[in-house]
Amino acid sequence: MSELASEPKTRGGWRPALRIARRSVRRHLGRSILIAALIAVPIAGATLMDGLLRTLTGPEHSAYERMGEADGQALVTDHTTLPNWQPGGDPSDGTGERKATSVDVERLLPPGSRAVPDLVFGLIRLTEGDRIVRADIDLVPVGDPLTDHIARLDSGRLPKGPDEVLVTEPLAERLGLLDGGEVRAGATITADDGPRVAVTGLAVVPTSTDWPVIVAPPDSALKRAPGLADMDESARQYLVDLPPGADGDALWPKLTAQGVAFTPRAVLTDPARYPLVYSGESALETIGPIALIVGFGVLEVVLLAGAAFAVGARRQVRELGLIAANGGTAKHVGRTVLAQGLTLGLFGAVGGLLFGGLLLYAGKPLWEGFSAEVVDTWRFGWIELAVAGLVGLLSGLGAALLPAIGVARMRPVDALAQRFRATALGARLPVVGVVVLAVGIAGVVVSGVLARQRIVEFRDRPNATDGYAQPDLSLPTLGVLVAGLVAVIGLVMVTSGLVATLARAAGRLPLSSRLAMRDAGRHRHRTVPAVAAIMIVVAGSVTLAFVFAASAVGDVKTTPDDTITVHADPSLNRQDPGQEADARRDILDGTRAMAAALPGGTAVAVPAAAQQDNAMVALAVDQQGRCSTGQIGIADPAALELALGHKPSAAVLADLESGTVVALDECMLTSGAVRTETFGSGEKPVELAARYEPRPAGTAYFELPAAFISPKAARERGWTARLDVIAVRFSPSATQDDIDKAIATGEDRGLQVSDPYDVEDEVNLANLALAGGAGLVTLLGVAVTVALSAAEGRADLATLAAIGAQPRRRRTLAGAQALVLSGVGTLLGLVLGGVLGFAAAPLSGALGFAVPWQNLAITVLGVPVLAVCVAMAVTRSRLPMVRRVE
Amino acid sequence: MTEYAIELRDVTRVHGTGETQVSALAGVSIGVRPGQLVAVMGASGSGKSTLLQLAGGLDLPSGGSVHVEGVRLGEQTRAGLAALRRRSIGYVFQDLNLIPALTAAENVALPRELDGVKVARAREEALTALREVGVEDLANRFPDQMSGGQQQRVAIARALVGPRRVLLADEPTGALDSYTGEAVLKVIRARCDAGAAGLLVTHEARHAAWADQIVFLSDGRIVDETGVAPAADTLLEGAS
Repeated sequence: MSELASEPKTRGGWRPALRIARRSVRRHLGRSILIAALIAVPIAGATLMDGLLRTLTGPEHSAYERMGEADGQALVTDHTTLPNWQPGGDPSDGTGERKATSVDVERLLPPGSRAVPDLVFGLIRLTEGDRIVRADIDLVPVGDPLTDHIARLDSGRLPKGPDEVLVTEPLAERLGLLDGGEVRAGATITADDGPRVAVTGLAVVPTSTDWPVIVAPPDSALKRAPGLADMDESARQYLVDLPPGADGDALWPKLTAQGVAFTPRAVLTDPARYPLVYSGESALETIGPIALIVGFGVLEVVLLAGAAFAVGARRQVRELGLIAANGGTAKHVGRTVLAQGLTLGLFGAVGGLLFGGLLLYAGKPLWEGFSAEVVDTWRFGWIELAVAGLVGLLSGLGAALLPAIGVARMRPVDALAQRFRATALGARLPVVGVVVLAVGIAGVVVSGVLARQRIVEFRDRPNATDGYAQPDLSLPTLGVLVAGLVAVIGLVMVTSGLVATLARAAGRLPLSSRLAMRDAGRHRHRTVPAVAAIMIVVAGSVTLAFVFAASAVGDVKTTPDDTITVHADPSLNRQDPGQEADARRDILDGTRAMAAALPGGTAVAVPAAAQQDNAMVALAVDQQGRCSTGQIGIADPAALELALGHKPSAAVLADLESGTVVALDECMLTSGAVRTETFGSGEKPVELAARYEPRPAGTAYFELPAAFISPKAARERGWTARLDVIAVRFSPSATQDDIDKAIATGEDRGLQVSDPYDVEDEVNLANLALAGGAGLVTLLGVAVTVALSAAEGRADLATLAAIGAQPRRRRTLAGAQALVLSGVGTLLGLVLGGVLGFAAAPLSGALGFAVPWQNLAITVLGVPVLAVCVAMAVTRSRLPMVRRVE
Repeated sequence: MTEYAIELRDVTRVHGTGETQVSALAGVSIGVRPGQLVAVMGASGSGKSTLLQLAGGLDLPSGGSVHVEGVRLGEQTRAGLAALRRRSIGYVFQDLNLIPALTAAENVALPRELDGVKVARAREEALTALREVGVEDLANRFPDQMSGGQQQRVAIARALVGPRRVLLADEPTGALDSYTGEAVLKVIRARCDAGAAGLLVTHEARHAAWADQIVFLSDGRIVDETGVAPAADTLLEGAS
């Protein structure tokens, strides 16, 4: 007998626990699939993202993009030696002179090496009837394995001589060269003022499949086209394939002595090894935000799956009581529930990894379309996937942890009788929660105030716009994160008491609402996790909405309303010097055609003041370093009206007439004068008398001048008018279709056109996406909990049926439950999100504060209403007539 | 060392406090020797099941003491009580005795596996126990593939697997038809005859007739007890 007393240590237990778990998963398939799916979905998302990011970004992708499968890139310079060069350095710094084209690079490489000329590219203007089409041209030997990353033959045949080329499908479509998906026989392209060449097939550029490109041999006749003829040949680049065993790191120092800058592949795949190469963000900067997102994602899974586990553990409590009655200790009982978490975590993790991989492979055409790249092989970060799988496994364990602790603490006699007692800890939890919540909120607010203070101090310091300095917000950021987490924990603890209080106060509500409230109060083991999950996701959504709204306060419109800007610098439109007059004519004709394509369209020339000799544009400079430099425009009335947003007043016109500069940024004025400079001209800065005339609030038209001077005053300064921008204005009634057509008209005439850009649209879209995300998780939480409630409350439903409740009662009950869960979760989330939003907004650098009414309205009204509708729609109206089905 | 395998000395059990306080047992003393089967009878709420729970260490008394095979349960930790249930005490409830996810053999082997016995040995012991109650051929069946009587026999096998020699049965025939119920009681009687100490809770006299001694409970107190019950066969004949 003494053996019994002296050996209470828990032995065994995992084996039968795992066996029971494995079989229970099969026995309760619906619930098991639900939990495994909750775990699997984020793992699948992580797998998908890992595959996409690893394949389409990152060091290996950069290496492939730049040098394909080559072992390195050799740049033969026009110097005989590069004494100080190392990878990442400037290869123009060398000694001795020679022609780079005269060097046989393969002779300088280890025996067995192979080198092929690397990509030479440029921009070419093609004529197609009366249209001008711009396209990139790549001069590259297609068909060589070393150039496979630059261009591949897709259909047709390779060019056989300098008069033949391939084109990419987007260009062939634009030029009308296709016939049944292939280049039609006899197709040609003609360079503007240049040669005509035959098109022998379609090429695909693996890293940019949607771009109009001509792929021509290195000796192509198109090299005679304007703009390409004077291409820089001072250096020549080669892709190098080294023999097995050759070391790029040992090779590059030898080649510098030959005037060749050799960049080994490792420079891109392992940049940290090379002191002059930028190796990207620190691991902490990259991992920090990902860890935060993953952490909250796991918390969501743990909460939602935890609710399902809690219900499962309750329904299984008799079995757990039997284990205790047969000698199972509290640990044995807990392990039996934990083993189910482990099993489902394993299924979820493996399923998620497989499903994510399947999505990646099955959706290949979709991903290729989105990224405009050809994917030959998917790359994965195996360590990341292992971590994701482990996180999934631990999510299952985490979800089962609290229910396991709960049942392990039960007395065997209670477990056998399926009797659940309220614990003293549970009663005290909401009180403790209020204290924790108060501490968390106080911490968040203090951190937010501190962040604002630091930004204000930073902005008020002298020369605030110098360099790339940023205010140090690391302490407030840490404060917001830690205090935010404390507030979340506090709210979760408070939730239990809040739900219980609501249940007690439900006495006067209609039957379904009363039952739903009381059900939520009685079954807090499933209600609280679901409410917490909804609260966290709503808080996250609202926080981001506040951050976006605060950022939007500082956002400015960069283009006037109902305006398309055309870059009118002739040198952008014709590479050939001496053709500026033709280019200017093309630009003016093109903008007129654009205006004609738009309702109420007019073209407004916006001339800028420039030094007559070298065409350097005159700039207005802020002497105190408080605002950005801007161009000085010639005060054409229409241009002035465009920049001001209204007709200039008589006083403004009078001041201009008297030679005063009109500055649109107050910060440019110092003691009633603005300083002007023409950089590069050698002219000394000059201060001119100026007045401030405000531009419309919330605007900063980067492409328009920041100050204006009258033509007469400009002439007296020795400046001339240079046409830099033409604004095509149109009626607000223009449709997006009209705008797209006008842009296409301009581009067909070779113009460089800026799309009108609307910041508001982007913010609205982001708000909708956030609210949508919150709605989705809310629906999931509501669906899980309402379904669990229906399963757990079968007996109650059967009682309702027995006393004559109408079938629709089940639906209204489900709707009321959804309303209770989503309503409480959303309201708590709003409170938490509002506080976090106040504190997080300045962390993004925005001092402004705005309430994202659109997001809040959708979240407060839309999400609960949607949850109620979906819950009612998917709930069967028939009431069960039996109390027990097991 | 006491001669009783199960001994309750002046045991009381009070549930709740204040106005809701209920005395489930008040000064009950019972002793069961190895090889003896004691039946506890009484109306609903008389304290029968509470007595059994205290005897099995599932619950602890408010007063008095409970001894199982010489070990005073009140002095044991929760883990110590669990160890006692693994090695000494076996329970048979009215129904839902078996864990649905385990086969009959696995259910019987469970206390041994929980005690750290290797799977093969635990299974061997389970098969022996199943053989002793005559359902060895059901070893690989799950509970939902067995009848109620078969499930109770498996539960009895589990209650007496390995070194366990104390059998606590709470209305073991309550969910069975009379024929099957008698068969189950025969098995319990046989196990006690083989040396086990049995405590049987029942409210049917013909079932209590299988016991060596009958204790009558009312409102938590022993109101009557017979020394040795008449032979079961005699009672059964009388009933028919």
